[in-house]
Amino acid sequence: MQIKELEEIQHHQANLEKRIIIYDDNIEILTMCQMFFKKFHYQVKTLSRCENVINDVKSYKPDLILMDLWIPEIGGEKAVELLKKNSMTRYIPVLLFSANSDIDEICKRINADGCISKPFNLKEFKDTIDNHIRLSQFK
Amino acid sequence: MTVQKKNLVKVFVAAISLVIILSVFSYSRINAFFESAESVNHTTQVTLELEKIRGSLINAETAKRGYLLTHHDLFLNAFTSSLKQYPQHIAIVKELTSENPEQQKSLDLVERLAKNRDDYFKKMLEVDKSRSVAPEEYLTGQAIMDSLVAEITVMVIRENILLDKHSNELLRQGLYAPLLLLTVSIIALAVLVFSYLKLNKSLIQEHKIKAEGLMEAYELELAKEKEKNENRFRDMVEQAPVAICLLRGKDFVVEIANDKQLQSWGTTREELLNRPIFRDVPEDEIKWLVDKLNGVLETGEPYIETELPSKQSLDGIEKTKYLNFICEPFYEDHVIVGILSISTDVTEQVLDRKRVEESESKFKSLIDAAPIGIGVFRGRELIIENPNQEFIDIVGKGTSIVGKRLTEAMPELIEKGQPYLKILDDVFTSGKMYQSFGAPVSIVKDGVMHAGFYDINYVPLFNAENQVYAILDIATDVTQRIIDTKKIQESEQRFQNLVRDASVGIVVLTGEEMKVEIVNQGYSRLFNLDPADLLNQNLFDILPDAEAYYRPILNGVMQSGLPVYLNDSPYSVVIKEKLIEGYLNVIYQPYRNISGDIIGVMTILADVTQQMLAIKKGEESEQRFQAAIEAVQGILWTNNSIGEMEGEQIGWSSLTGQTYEEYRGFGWANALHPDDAQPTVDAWNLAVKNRSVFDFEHRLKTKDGSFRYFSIRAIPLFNGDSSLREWVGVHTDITEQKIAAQKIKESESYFRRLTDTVPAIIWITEPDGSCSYLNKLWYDYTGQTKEESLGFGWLEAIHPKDKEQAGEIFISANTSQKPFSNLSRFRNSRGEYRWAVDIGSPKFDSNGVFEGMIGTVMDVHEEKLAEEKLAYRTALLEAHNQASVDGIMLVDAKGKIISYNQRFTEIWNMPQHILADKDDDAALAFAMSQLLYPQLFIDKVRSLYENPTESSLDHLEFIDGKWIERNGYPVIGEDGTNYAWSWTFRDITKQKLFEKEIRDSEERFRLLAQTLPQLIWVTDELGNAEFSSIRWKEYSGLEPSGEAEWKAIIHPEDYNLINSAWIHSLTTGNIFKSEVRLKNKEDEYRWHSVNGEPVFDKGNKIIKWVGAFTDINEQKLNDERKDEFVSIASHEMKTPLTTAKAYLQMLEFTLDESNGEAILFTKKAIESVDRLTELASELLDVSKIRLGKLQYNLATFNFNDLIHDTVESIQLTSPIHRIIKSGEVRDPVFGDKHRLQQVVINLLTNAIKYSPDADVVFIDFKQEGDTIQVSVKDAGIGIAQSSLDKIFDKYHRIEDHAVHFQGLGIGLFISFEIIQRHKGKLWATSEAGKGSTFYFLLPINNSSSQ
Repeated sequence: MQIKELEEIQHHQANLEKRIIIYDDNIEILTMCQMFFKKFHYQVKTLSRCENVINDVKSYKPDLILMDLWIPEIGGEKAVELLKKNSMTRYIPVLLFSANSDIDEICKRINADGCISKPFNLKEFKDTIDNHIRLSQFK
Repeated sequence: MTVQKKNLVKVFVAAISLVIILSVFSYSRINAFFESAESVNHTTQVTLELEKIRGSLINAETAKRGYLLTHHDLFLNAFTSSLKQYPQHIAIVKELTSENPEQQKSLDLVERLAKNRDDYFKKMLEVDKSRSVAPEEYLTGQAIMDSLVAEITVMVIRENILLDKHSNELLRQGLYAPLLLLTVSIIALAVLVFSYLKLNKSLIQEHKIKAEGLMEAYELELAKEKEKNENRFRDMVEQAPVAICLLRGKDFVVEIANDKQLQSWGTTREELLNRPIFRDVPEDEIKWLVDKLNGVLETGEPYIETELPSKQSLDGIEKTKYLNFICEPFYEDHVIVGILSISTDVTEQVLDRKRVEESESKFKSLIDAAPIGIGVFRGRELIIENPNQEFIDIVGKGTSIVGKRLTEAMPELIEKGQPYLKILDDVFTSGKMYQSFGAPVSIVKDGVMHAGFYDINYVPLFNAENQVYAILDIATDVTQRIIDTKKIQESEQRFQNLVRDASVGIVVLTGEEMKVEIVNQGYSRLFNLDPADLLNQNLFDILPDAEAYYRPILNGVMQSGLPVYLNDSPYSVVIKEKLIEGYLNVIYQPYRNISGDIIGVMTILADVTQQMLAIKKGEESEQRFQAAIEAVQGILWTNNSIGEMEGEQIGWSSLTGQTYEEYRGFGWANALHPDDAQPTVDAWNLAVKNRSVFDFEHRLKTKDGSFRYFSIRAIPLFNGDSSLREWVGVHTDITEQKIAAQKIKESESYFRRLTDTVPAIIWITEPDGSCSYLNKLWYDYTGQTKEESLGFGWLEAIHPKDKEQAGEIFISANTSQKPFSNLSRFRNSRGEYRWAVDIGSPKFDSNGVFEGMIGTVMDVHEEKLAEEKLAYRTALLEAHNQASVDGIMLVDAKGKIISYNQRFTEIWNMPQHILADKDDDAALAFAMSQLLYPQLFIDKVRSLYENPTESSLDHLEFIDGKWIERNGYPVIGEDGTNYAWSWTFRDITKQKLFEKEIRDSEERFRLLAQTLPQLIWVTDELGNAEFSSIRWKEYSGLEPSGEAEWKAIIHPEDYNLINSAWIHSLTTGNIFKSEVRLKNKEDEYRWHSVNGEPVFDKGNKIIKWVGAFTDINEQKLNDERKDEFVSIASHEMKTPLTTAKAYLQMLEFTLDESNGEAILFTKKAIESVDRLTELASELLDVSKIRLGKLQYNLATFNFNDLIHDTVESIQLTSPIHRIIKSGEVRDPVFGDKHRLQQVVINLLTNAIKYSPDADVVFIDFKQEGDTIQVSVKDAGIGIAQSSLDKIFDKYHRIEDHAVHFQGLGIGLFISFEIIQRHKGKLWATSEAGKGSTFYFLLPINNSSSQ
C-alpha cells in the first residue's frame, strides 16, 4: 500500500509537468475534464474558442492539445490545420475530440495525431492522452 | 759424459723428434687455419657475387621500366647487358657454393625467377608493340622482382650465417694452433736449452716471431673481415626492400628489425628491440603462428607463408595487409637460436591482382557471355584455344574442341571445300586481317550439316619477332539476318516484278516535286511513253497538263494519309503534241517508308476507256436493237440458251399450228420445209455455238398447210455476267417479197412505177454496193438530189454517229449477200434526224446470180417506239395489277373501265355482271351505295376527271364500318395526253380503328394530363418532346420542347445527373426516376420527383415515354430538416452523455469494495448511458442513409474472424443466452467490416432481446460459391406473417410486443441498408410464437460503390 502510494506520488509529480490544452465549446465537458485531470495532477487549460489557437499554444506550451470539431470561431479542423502548418506548434500532438461519427476520416484528412470520440471510456481517454504525450517526447 | 752425452743426444733426438712431430701437427693446424681463413674469403666472395647479381637484376629491372616508360633503346641496351651479366655471376656463385645444397637450391630458384621475369619482360615488349601493357603484367614482373631480391637477400644472409660459423671455427683454430705451437716450442725449447742451450736459438726465435706475426695479422684481418661482413649484413638488412627481423629464442625476442619491419608493424625500434615480439598479443590469437615458429626452431625447416592477410589499424582505420613471409631458422654454432623473418608487404599487389582478377573475370565472363564467338587458333596448325561459349556453340561440338587442330575439330571445313582454311593460312602467312560479312559456312552439328551465315573476323596475333603466332577468330552467327535480308530482297524483287507485270498502271511518286520513283509499263503505256522516259523525272514536268487537276488530289492523299478513289474519270493529256484521251479508274494510296511516314503516293490506274466506250456503244446498240425489234413485223419467239424452244410460243403456234409438245426442244424444225430443215438446224447450231446473230431464210409450213418464205433473225441475249440467257428470234414472212422480187425481176419498168408510188422508200444497189436507184420518196424525204444520193452518197443522209455502222452493216450484207436490217437516224429535208429502219435483201436473177441489194427505208420514229413502249407498259401494269394487294381499276379518259384486278372486286363486292359489262355508271352507283358519304366520293371523282393533272388521296368510310384508302391519279403520256385514270383502293380499316383508338386514348390522356397538378410530358421513343401539359407553362413559363428549354428549367447542379439518368433510361428502357430542382416563373428552384415510363407497342417495342414531375419541395425540405435535426440532435445528445459517462466512471473509481451496491448502480447507470449513445448513433446512421451520406470503408477481411469476435463480445454482455456458432467461410471478403459487424450485432441482440424465455441463439454462416449466407435463429416470440415485410422499415418494431421491449427498431432498417449497399440481401422467416430466423446473403467480392 505504501509502495503504491509512493508510486502515485511520483506519478503525480511527473504529471505536474504535463500541460494540456482542451478546446471545447461545451462548458460541461471542460469542467468534467478539468476535474478529471486534476485528479491526476495534470496542468490543464480549457478554452471554448479556438481562433487564437497559435497564440494560446505558444504561450501555454502544452504537451498535448485536445480539440473539439464544432467550436467557434474557426472550427476545430481549421485550428488543427493552423497548428500543423506552424513550425513551432507542429510537433505538439493534437487529438480530435468530438461526437462526430466521421471523426476517423476527418482525423486522417487533416493530419491530426489521433482522435477520441465522445462519449468515451475514461480509462481509454487517459491512456490515449498519456501514450501521445509519451510518444511526442521521443520525437 | 758419454752416457750423459748419449742421454743428451737421446734427449735431443727425442726433443727434435718431438719438435718435428709437433711441428708436423702444428703445421697441419696452421694449414687448417689457413683453410678457415679461406672460407672467410669465400664467403666474402659469394656475398659480393650475390650483390652483383642483385645489382644487375635491379639494373635490368630499372632498364626494363625505363624502356617501357620511354621506349628508348638506351634502356633496352642496359637491360640486355645486365641480362648477360647476371647468369655469369650466378654461375660463379653456383660454383662457389657447390657444396652448399641450400644455396644451390636458392640459386635454382633465383635462376628460374630471373628467367621467368625475363620471359615476362619479353612478353611485355611483344605486347607493348600492339597495345599498352596490362597492369597485371607489370605487377607480376614486380612481384617476381621482389621475390628475386628477397631470395638473394636470404642467400646473402645465409652466406653470412655460414661466415659466422666459419669465423668462430677460425677463431678457435686460430687460438689453438698458436697455443699448441707455443707449448710445443716451449717444451722443445726447454729440452733444447737443456741439451743445446745455444743450439739454433735464433731459429726458434724466428719461428716463434713468424708464427705470432702470422697469427696477429690473420686475427686482425679476420676481425676486419668479420666486422665488414657484419656491417654488410646489417646494412643489407637495413637497406633490404623487405621487412626483416631476427627473433631470438623461445620467446622470440626481437634482436634485429629493419626500418621496413618497424614500419610494417607501426612501432619504433626502442619499443620493439630486445623484447619478446608477441608480448602484447593474446596467446590464443597468435598460437597458430607461435606453433609454426616453434616448428621452425625445432625442425630447421623454413616456414613460408604467402599473401597472409593481417589486420592493422592505421590512424584508426582498419586495413587488411597482405604479407609474404619467409621464416628461416637462424643458426649460431650449428644450433638454431632464433628465426630470421623476412616479410614483404604485397598488399598493393594482392589488391591490384584481385582487382585485375576481378576485372579480368568480369572481362572473361563478358567475353563468355558475349553473343559473339571468340576463339584463338594457335600456330599454323590452328590449334583451338580459349574459345568462349558462343564460339563453342557455333562450332557445335562441345568443349572437346579446345586444344584440337581446327581441321580435327571441324573436318567439314576440308570436306566441303570451304575456303576458310585457305583464308586462315593466308592470314597466317600474310599477317593481314580477314573480314567477311555474312560469309556462308557449313558446320556439322550433331552429325547434321547446317548451312549458315557468319560475320567473320580473322585477326592475326603477332609475337615479339613480329611474326604471326596465332589468329583470333571473331565470328557472329548472322544466318537469321541474311535470311531476312534475302527474304526482303526477294519480296522487293517480287514487288518490282508485280509492279512491272501488273496489267494496271502503277506509279509511285515521292516528295513535293512528285518524282517518279517506280513506274511500270502499264502506266507509261497510258501516255504512250516508255517507263524510262518517266523514271526519276518529276511527273508534272512530263505531264504538265495533268498538274492542275491531279496535284491537289496527290497532295491531299499525302497530307491526309487516306486513299482516294476515282472511277471512270476522264483524262486527256497532250504528249509529244498528241492528244491522248480516255477514262481511268484510279486509286491513290499513301506510300510510306519503313518507319510509316508518308513519303509519296502510289497511284494505281486502270484504263477503262474501252469499257466506257463499250458501254456507250452498248447503250446505243441496245437502242438500235429495240428499234429493230420494234421495226420488224414478224413472229417473235424465244429459245433457251442451248437453242431449244421452250415455254409457250404463241406466235409460233399461231403461225405453224404446232402444239407445245410438237415444237418444244428442236421440234420446231419439223415445221420447216423438208429441203430447208437440215441446213437451218445446222446453221442454228452453229450460231448457238458461236453465240453469233442468226440470220437465215427458210420456208415454213404454216397452219393452213401452205409453205411460205420467212426471213429469220435471232440474237442471243446475255445476262449481266455475260452468260447467255436466251435467244430471241423473229420470223418475218417474206413470201410476198419473194414473189414480188420474182415479178420485179420480170418487169423493171413495172417495178419503177410501182416503187415510186409505194409509201416507202425503196432502194436498189449494184453488186458492188453502189446505189443505183432510189425512189422519189427518198428525195422527198431527205432533200438530197439524185447526184448526191447515188453511189454511196445516200450515207451522207445518215446521222454522223450512225453512219459508220450503217455503212458497215450494208457492206457486210452486200458482201455476204444476206438480208440486213439496220436502224439509223436519217436526216430529213428539214434537217431533223429521224429514226428509220433500213431493211435490205439480196436480189438474184433467175439464174441465181447476185444482182445487188434491194431494200426499203421506213420512218419508224414515233409510232413504232410508242407502240412498243405501250405494249411493254401494259404488260407491266397488268402484272402489277394482279399482284397488288390493293384493288386497282383503270378507266379511260372518259371514265370507261379498261381493266380491274381481283382485289378490286373483293374490296367493292362488285357484282361480276357490272364489271363484265364494263358498265361505268352502274359501277359508280354500286360503289356509292356502300359509302357513308357517297356525295363526297362522287364529287371527288368528277373533280378529278375535270382536272386531268391532279391526283387525289382520300379515305372512304363504308356503311359497314370498313375504311378504304382511295388513290386516284391520271395516266399521262409523254406528250401530255391523258390516256387513263388509275384508281387504287386499299383496306385500311384496321389502321383506322387503331388510329382512332390511339387518338381517343391520347385525347383522354391529354385531358387528364391537363387536369393533373403534375408537370406531364410525353416524348417519342428517341426522347423528342411530343407533348407537355399546360402546367409546364404555368409553372416555368416554358414548355420543355428541347434541350435549351430543359437547361433553362433544371437547376444547373442537377442537370448532368438527370440528363445521364434520362439517357440511361432511353438506352436501356428502364424506368426513368430522379429528383431534380426545377425553376419556376419566380426564378425559384423547387424540388420535383420525376417518374417516366416507356410505352410499348404490341411488338414490345418502345414507342413513347410518358412521365410526370411532381413537386416534392415541401416534402424534401421537411425530410432534409428532419434529417438535419436528427443529425444535430444526435450530436448534441452525445455531449451530456459524455459528461454523464465520465462522471459516472469517476464515481466508480472513487468507490471502493465497501460500497458494493453503489458500484453496481454506477455500472448499471454507465450501461444505460452506453445504450443511449448507441441509439443516438443509430439515429444518426438513419439520417445519413436517408441523405445517402453513410460512409463505407471497404477493405478485404476475414469473415470468420468477424463472426468470432462479434459472438464473443455479445456473449460477454448476454450471460443468459448461449450463442451457438457454426460454419466457415473459405475466402476473404471485401466490404466494410465495421458496418457488417454492426449487422451481425444487430441480428444477435435482436435474437436475444426477442427470446426472453429461451437460453440459446444460433448463428450459422457458410460460403456457397461467391456468396456468404449468414442466418441467426432464435426460439423467441416470432413475427406475424403480416408484419414480416414491414420489419425493415425505418421506425418499425414488433408492435404486438411494444410494451415488453424497448428500442426504436431502427437497427434492422440500418442493417437492411448496409447489406443492400454490399449488393446483398437481408430477409427473415418467422412463425409467431416459435421464433424467427434472419438471413443475409453477401457477395464475397461485391463491387458496391461508395
